Amino acid sequence: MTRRTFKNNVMGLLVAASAGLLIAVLAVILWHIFISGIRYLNWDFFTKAPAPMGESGGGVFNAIVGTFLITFVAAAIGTPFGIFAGIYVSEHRGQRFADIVRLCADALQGVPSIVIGIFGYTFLVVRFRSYSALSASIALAFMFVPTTARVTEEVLNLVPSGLKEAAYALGARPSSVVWNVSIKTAASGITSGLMTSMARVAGETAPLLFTAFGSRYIEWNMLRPMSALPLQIYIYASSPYPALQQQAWSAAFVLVLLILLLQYGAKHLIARVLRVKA
Amino acid sequence: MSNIKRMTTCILIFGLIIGLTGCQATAGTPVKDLAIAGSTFAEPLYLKQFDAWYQKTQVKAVYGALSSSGALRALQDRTIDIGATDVLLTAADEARLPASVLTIPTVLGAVAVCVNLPGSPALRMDAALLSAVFRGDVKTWDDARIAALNPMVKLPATPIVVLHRADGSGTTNIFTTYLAATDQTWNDKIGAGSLVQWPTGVGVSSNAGMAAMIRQTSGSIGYLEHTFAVQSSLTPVALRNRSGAFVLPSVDSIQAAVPPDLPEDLRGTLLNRPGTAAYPIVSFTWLVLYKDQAYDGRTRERAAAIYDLVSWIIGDGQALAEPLQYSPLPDRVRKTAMSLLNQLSWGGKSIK
Repeated sequence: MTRRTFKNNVMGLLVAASAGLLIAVLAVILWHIFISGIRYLNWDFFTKAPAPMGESGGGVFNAIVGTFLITFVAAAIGTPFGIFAGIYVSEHRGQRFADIVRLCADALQGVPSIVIGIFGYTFLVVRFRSYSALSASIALAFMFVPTTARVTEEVLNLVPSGLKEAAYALGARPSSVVWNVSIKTAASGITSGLMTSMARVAGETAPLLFTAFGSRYIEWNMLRPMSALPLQIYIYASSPYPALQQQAWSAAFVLVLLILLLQYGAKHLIARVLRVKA
Repeated sequence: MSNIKRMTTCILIFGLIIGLTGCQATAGTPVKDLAIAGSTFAEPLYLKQFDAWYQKTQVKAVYGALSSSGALRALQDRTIDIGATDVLLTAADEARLPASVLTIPTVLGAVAVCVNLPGSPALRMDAALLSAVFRGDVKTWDDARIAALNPMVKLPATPIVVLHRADGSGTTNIFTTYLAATDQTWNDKIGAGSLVQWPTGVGVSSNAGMAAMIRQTSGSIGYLEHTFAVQSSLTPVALRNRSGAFVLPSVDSIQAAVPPDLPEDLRGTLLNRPGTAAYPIVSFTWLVLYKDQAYDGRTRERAAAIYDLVSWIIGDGQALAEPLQYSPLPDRVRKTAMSLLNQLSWGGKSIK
């Protein structure tokens, strides 16, 4: 074997091994969560609130409800801001203010979630004198907006300029071009961006510690303390009771499933629906 | 209309509906939710009591096991209705709060010292030895000073892993106050407080975290509220009390530590009390709330809900203490607690 082919083989092996490692890490994590989590899943787990400390039984229905409510409200608050900001930046490409907006979105994306949590505590919880799910949603919306804005912008940038020019040539107004041409073309991309952002905030723990507070009761009121799956996992995993540690794995399994569904399932499903209709 | 619009509108409307229905539910109705936060020392009891209270009244008392120090902070920020602490507020603490507070005892508990050794031997220790272990002075389990108190136990030659709390903890406060009061070296070198400078060991947060850590770490020693020790089947150490007897924590040995001549303000210490049956590290745990509840636009209904809950905790709710290894308040203390609670007011008018 020549030196050159040897080098080629070694490098090829390294590259393949790294790629393999990436898959292996994900596979190990998913496999472990699956194996540890599925064992303790039962009907009570999905339908009941936690049992008092040290007693067996109970479930995480309170946290499942909380995760859904907090995430959806965060998405509802963040979606218009994120999409509008994305449209703005995309439509004003190359302009100074648009660049500043893009820079700020990137910076906001990089703010550690624990900082968002302290921010939520100081400006929402302390101001309104109570822990609430709504303040958690608002804090999460701060994480939701920049990712949505960036994804929207990038997807809109991919819309062929020829399409837009054709619309303009037909006498369409700029607003009409944005809504009926750009957004329609980019719809599936934007939707999957929304889903990815939602999946991201659904898994956040730190902002919730300071805002949602956690609750052992099944709570539907956004103005009251509420639990969420990551919060419950955090508390259960550090508890001394084996039953709760097992429930932490099951809750982790449910959370991962939920996030994967949001990230991939919904994306493909929606993409297909949109394609069929278009 | 494009699909993305429809999709966005769906999310928006769904979210708004959730948000709005949530907001409307609170207007003008009786208060059905209370936020309490603090002590992990009393966490198992409060969770059980709040659960029972929910079954009884449908009031959701949410408990955040932050730590006693966390309770003070949250109380200062006025983000909770009631704080839970194992340590009486100092004058400096009270000065930081915007208004005067009521501090109401709810139950008595013990701090257990637990070890994780192969075979779970029944160990005995005294204050001087505890101090030496937690200062890192005694480094291995077969040290002569441990062997001297435990002649019958075969001690392994493994290092001692000291575990202590890393968060501002009422349990730490009780434990270090006991050591400072009974061991001069501890008093001089480390002192007492909710957060102290530990010369050695691994920091853990919350009583639950401590229980989990002792369970996982072979050769470890740590201190935690008695209920956690029992519920996680840890091995407690028998401590030498003031009368020279070695006593394990239990409801009886906690009760034996309460002196009959407790001062009216309950500020007397329950640590290292005389009496052969008395466990040496015993403490009250307390609820702290603002004396006048008409602050930040709070309603009289909320004050009434708080009054009802606390009076039940120091009343019928005491029946739940003993099954969880806490000692219920002695009758005399219960009366004092009730008269303290009766000072609760809303806009100057009594709630009672």
